[in-house]
Amino acid sequence: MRESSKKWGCVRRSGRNRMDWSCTLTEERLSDMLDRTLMPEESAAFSAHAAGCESCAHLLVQVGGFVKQVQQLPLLEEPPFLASRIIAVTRGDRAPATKGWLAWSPAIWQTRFAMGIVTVAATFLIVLHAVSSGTPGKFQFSPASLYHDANRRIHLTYARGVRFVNDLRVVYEIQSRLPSQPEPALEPNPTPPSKEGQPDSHAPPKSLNSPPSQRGFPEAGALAVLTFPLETQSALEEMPRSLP
Amino acid sequence: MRRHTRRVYNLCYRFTGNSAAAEDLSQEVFIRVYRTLPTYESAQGAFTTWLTSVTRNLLVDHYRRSRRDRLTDSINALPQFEERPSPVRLPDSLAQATELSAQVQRGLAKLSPELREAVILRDLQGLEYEEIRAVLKVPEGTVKSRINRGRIELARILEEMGVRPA
Repeated sequence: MRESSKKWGCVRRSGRNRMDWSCTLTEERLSDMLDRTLMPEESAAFSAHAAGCESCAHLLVQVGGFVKQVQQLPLLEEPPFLASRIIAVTRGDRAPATKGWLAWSPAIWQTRFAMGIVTVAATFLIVLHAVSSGTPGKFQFSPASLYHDANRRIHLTYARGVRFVNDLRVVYEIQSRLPSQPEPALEPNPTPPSKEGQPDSHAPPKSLNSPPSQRGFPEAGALAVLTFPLETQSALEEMPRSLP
Repeated sequence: MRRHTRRVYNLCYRFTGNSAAAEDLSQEVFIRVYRTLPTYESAQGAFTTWLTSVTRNLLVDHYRRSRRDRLTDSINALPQFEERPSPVRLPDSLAQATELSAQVQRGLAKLSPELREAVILRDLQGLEYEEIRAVLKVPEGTVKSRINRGRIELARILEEMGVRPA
């Protein structure tokens, strides 16, 4: 008590303890006064000082009033769904449980699922059409026969394509060579006759019945063989004999 | 969890003055609580005190982050505190309480962070000195000093704002 009194400015006057309360001390112990944690004699000294000091009385009323108001303020309402959001974040989102046998139905309406179904159905129809067109009237659904039939049809289709492309190449090569030769017999040759024994490159062919090698361009068959790439020739050799 | 949501949200809102930030911080508080719950021991103190301590640590981190952002962005020297508009017409007493709450919020925004958190924990959250000491991890004398200075400063600010005491 003595130390406390010394600490808080208690001085001995005329044989008894008396609080020498100052304005600074009032400000320092204001919260203790408001929270009622002052000792009785300190509280009495505080009140006595505040009664005679206008500024300290104003401070006590002002701060005490505001503290009372602030303490009586209700808690603010949290935003709606905040608790649900926190639960969702801490526990993870849980999809609403659909009861009954329709629980799986929402998955059907997803776009990915529908596209997958369409793709599978289209594949099945293509394979079925290929099998049925090869052996009309009876289907062979064993995986081995389906594989062999599909493999055979793919190779046949590829061989047809290779043959068609090669034919086009032959025709193109022939057509590309033809315009490079001079047009025969469209107009009389004004040049004087050349000497005997020297071939005239501008002379018209001797006869249309002469072989093509004598007319200035090679045979089509030889040309085609010359211009074919090696892989095309090998593809032609590997082409199945039972092509339709 | 739902019992503590309002307390945590109020603490975050009173400290930051921003409802969106308070929501995010509240969510972050419970995520951290969810992760560190095994480390909580009841011998250390009440769960509410531990939860308040976690919240306060996150608020301090948030304050430091926002202060760093404010230093880099010198346009806004002080944080902007939003008003919470009342969606419906309120009775007079409730309207006065709402108005006073907004004024107190503006006054709290002008306090230093140390004084602000002490006043919030004591007067708005209703914690005892011992609990505040455990949350702030400072001696009880420091807690009392901060609360006292915060109250006086807040009263001075509110008086300057034209608010009359009860």
